Amino acid sequence: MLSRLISSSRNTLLTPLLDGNPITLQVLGLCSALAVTSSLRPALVMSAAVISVLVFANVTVSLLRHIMPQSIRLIIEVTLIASAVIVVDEVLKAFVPDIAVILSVFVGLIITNCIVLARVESFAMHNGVWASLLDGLGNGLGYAWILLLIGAVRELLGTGSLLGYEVLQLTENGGRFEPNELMLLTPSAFFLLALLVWMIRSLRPAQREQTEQTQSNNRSSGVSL
Amino acid sequence: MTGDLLAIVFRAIFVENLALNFLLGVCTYVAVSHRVTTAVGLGIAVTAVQTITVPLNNLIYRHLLAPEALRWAGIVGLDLTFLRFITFIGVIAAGVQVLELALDRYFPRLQHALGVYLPLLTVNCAILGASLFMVQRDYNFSESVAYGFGSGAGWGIAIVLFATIRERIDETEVPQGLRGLGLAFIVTGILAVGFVGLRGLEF
Amino acid sequence: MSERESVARTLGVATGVAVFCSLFVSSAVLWLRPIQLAYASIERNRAIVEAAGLVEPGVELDEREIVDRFLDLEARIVDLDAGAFSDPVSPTTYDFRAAIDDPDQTRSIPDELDIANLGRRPVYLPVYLLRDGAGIELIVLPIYGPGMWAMIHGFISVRADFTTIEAVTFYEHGETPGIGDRFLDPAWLAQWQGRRAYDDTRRVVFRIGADEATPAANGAIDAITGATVTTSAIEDLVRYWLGDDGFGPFLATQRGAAQ
Repeated sequence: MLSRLISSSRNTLLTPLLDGNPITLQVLGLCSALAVTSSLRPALVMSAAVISVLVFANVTVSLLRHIMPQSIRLIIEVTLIASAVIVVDEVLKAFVPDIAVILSVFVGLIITNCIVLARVESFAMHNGVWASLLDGLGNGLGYAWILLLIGAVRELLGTGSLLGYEVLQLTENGGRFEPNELMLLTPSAFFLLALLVWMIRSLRPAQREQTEQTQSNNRSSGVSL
Repeated sequence: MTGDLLAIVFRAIFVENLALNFLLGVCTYVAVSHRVTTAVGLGIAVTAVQTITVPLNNLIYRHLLAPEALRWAGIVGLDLTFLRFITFIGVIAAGVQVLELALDRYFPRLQHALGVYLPLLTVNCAILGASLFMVQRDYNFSESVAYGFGSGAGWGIAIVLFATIRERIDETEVPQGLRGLGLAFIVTGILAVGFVGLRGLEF
Repeated sequence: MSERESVARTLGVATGVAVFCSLFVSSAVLWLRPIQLAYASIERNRAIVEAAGLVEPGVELDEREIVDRFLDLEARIVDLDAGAFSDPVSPTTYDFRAAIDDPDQTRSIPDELDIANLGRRPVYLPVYLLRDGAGIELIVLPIYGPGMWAMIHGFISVRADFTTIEAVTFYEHGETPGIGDRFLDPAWLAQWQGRRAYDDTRRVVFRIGADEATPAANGAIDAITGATVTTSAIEDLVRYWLGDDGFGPFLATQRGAAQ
């Protein structure tokens, strides 16, 4: 019994990291994922912010799931998410103000980040508090590692540094690395994400998309947010 | 004055395109771009919602939430800017609902065509994003009307461009793992490179 | 209608959630706001002491050190329209960042003078003097103007001849990370040292990027590649604040008094 509980907890936590990754499989939460990854530090802070909001929203909705009237379900969920986002935004402005400036509107946009509402609706409404907490954490981490990977590649190739420390010595400082400025611009985020999706889907053929016909049928129901 | 407003519209469409420069609303953008006709419908819906919600949020922000905004009511030293997220999302949800009812009453055919997409727009980051950018850039009311229209139209143009390309790409032979999502990102990336070329353009 | 969907239940849950969220949000804001304000004022003072040359290059000061060095400076208020010090306004209580957004404390700038697109500006602004005995060694002036996305705020310091720029610092901006924000690069900012702000006829000659009007020999600062909008925004705001509608008349008075 106990071992089954542990293994189901582990699944709740680990599945979203690769097999059910919210970004590459479910196409959720891309907007902020791409825009804040021009370097590693903002990506790190953004990940922490999304994880906190996800966990808070999942836990509170799970607590309320038995008493929540259907008619006002969505508005209550959005209110809880928005409150969490406001608090996270204020915390960032107080403790990491330099990063908060870079993230600017993208912290606020966590409210409309499809991951949060999707997890709340599809998981927290039907599961206990502990499982919802793990689900929030797992999906947050699945989102985070992609964000961090893209942020790291863009910062490294775009400036030769990681977290602001020079890793590859630049030609202008006597080294051999010439930074690629395309990496700092938005299109590079799309290219990197495409490569990542390609890689994951080559390793996990089950995630490949079917022919165009079935796909557009799935689309209309599956990825609706 | 009109020139300034026109400049805001053009900047919002070409230089600061919400989808291609700020990557906003990309979830919907990737999900609903398999057919040009639906893309056009969605583009029009986004433009309509933006043109209504950005100016509305502008009024609320400047007269209720901004620092010292409540001076007219005799309240001094109050700064409610932190409430903007929750207020804006409420206004957007209500705005979308009202638009839906109005279309249903006066333009039932348009309502029928857009029906599926309208509710989705509430949680589209491009819509909330435009209102937040409006605050960040300190637009006044008429500027916010221009910005709302321009940013919506820019997003619409981007998704229509993308859908046009995608209709053809879906027919081609590509590596299995790249099919669908992967290729969609690459195409969007190339489109975005084109828009980066317009950066620094001044009107 | 099930019990769960009853009107009373719906209202109850809605009220409960509303009360919980408002308590949660407002207590967080009340707790965090002082920390945010303290940080903002420390960053501003850091920019002032750096512009005044009180910080050795490459050294990170902690809060106490910044406050200590800030106290070495003498804060005064300048009436920009009169071009002179204005003593009735107290530099310790006057908040110029609040004044910038206050229609009652600003006046509109004539279109032909508004090269930095500010629209309005305050009548009073603080300046910070580094004293050398009785004389002035350096004077630090606040500057700001719209950048690509948001206001850029900074300080510029001018030497005792009231003509030569000593240093410039920026403490608030919203330029594109990695591209527009390269104006914060210390090597680029170092080029400002020793540039002439005015020619002998008191015209503003400050430029970023050489063109026909200002040959590079006159000492134009390099433009930042790929950040055209940011570069010209900074040039415009510096030219405005050093110009006739900004600190120009005040600096001219000081120059006259010093000679």
